[in-house]
Amino acid sequence: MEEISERKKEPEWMRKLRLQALKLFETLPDPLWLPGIEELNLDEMILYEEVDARATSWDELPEDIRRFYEEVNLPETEKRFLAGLSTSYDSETVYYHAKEYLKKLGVILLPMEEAVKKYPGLVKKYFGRIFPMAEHRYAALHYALWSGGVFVYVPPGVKVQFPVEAFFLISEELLAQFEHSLIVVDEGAYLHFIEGCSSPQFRKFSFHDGAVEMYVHKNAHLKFTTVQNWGRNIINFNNKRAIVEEGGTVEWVEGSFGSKNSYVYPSVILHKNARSRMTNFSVAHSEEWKEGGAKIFHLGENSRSTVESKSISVGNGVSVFRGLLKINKGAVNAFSAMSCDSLVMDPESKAFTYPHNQIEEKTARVSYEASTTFLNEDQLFYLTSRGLDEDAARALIAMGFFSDVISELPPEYAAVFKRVLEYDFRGSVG
Amino acid sequence: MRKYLPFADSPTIKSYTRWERFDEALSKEGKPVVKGLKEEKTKLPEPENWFVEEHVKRAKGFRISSGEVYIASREGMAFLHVEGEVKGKLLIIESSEKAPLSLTGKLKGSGEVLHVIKGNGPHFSRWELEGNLTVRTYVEGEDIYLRYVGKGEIKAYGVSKGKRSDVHHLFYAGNVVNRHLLLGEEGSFLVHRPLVKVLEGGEAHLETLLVKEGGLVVGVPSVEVLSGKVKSATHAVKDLVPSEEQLFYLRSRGFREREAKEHLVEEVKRFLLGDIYQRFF
Repeated sequence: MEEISERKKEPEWMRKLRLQALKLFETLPDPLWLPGIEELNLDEMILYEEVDARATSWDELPEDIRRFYEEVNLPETEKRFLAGLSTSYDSETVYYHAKEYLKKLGVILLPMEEAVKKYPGLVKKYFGRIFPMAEHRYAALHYALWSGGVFVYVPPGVKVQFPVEAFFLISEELLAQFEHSLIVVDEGAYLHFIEGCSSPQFRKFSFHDGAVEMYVHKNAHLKFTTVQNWGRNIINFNNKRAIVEEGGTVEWVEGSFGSKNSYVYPSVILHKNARSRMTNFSVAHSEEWKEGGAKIFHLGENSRSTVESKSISVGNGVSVFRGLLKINKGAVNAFSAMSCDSLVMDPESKAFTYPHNQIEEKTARVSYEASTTFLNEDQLFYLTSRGLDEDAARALIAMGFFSDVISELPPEYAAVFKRVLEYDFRGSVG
Repeated sequence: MRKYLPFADSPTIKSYTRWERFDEALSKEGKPVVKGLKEEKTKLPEPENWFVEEHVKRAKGFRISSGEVYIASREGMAFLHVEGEVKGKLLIIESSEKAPLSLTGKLKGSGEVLHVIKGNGPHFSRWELEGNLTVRTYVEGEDIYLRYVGKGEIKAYGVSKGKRSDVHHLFYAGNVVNRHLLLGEEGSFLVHRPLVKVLEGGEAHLETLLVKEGGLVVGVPSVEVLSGKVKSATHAVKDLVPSEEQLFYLRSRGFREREAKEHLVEEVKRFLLGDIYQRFF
């Protein structure tokens, strides 16, 4: 940890923060609510992998690294669609580029470690204050060892019309990635931020323990889209939270594929008149344990939240939804609607839902509804009788189940989503 | 060896309610859950048709089948075990005024169980249900922990009111319907926490209804679908407020908004409590 801090030439406050987190990691108990982390032996893992590359154009990147990104079509997507892009490779940011458009608007897009040095006042104001390190043991570990990630700051009143993306890649087995991203959208501003994650298939596992902190100021609007497409052998922790100030809005789309154990509970804290809309989708395939959900804290009056969660369990996969809705006293006329749909596609697969609704405000309106549906044999028969093989028919049914979620995604990502879904069900694309 | 507690939740949630008590309860299947109290051995006497116990000081056990049972602990601690095969209708009234009461029960058969718990605990009540049973429960008081564990075809309806109560259901469906109304008042902390494990061929429908006049109300209707071959599984948490149409209908007939809401709450209570409502309200 000291070594990471030294290599990054961090200011003293960050070194102290890391030390504090390490102390917490050593004292906090292992969470008992997480299955499947028994094999997580940190001693046999590479906790920090220095990558000797930092480029602002694709040509400057070493070929072996560039090839990874070309395989997921990232240079082309950036050219056509994005205002800025930052990519992390294992423990380091290897590429970042802000287009002229973004620079003219005064938007800051920097690798996190550079932002810590270049804008210490701005970063210190938010870093670690949205998602606290004491949340659980692995959040503390994240803060102790964080490396990579991106810092985005949108000045007051600035509307960024094109998305900004951060992409994270784990290239090796037995490697841990702890990237930290911080997104600040100042008063009245707008940003669409996209997060992508990927890794090849490994024989042994790797560990992802990242964090995204988002701060949406008064009347600002943040759209956050993330599609995590990990290889099957990843243990994936995601520590994500947004604070939305008065009149602010956050629209959040969170998708999860791959990773044998995944724990993703995006959370939002809403102040007066703030809004949040969250859409989750996940596929638990081939004995994967996929935990997802949403945590919404209503602190201010007239705050509104909606959560829509969709999951598919197939091939002995387990989907778990853990939801928390907390409406504090004083959040007058707060409104929340949560829905959770699970589709179980074979007798061996499972779907668990643990919602948690805590209401302290008598004028609040809440509704939570969940249903679990099962693969309809008639649909399957209909599709196979028209010439589709069974896997293709299942993929089509899954696509239909997710259709309203797909419409929430930017077109480029909807196409990726469809390919990944097809791959998940058929084992090949196209 | 790491002890995995599947029903515990992430730390954010844990800080608000006592999930660990739920986990603890589940890990001690079949035993009364009493913190800080010593459990005495219970003896089960010969079967009797029905039994009335008004004042309990020492551990005792008894069998019941139908009729009315009163279990009260006014002073001292009490540990009780109750068993029976339900035939027809059975009314159980538990009451603990200040003195701690820990009760375990086993009910089988088919019929209707009316279960009223009132008191100012600590009051731990744990019942195992099996068969084709309809259970109607009314809980009112302070520091009451009630838990049903059931197998088979079970319909469980209930209403919670008062300062603090925690109502758990753990059902292995079968065919399960569970509806519970939490009537929150100023200073109350009411929890309804059903968990249904839906097995092959099973069906489960859970619903927590909320009325919030203050305090904290917590609904955690959880479902574990353990097979893709189940009939259906749904769960919901809803505010018990009249819909716009209902409100319009009632207001056009002279009800004020407040009265319309009260009317709805009373009707739902009547539906959930059945004979308990007829007799006690």
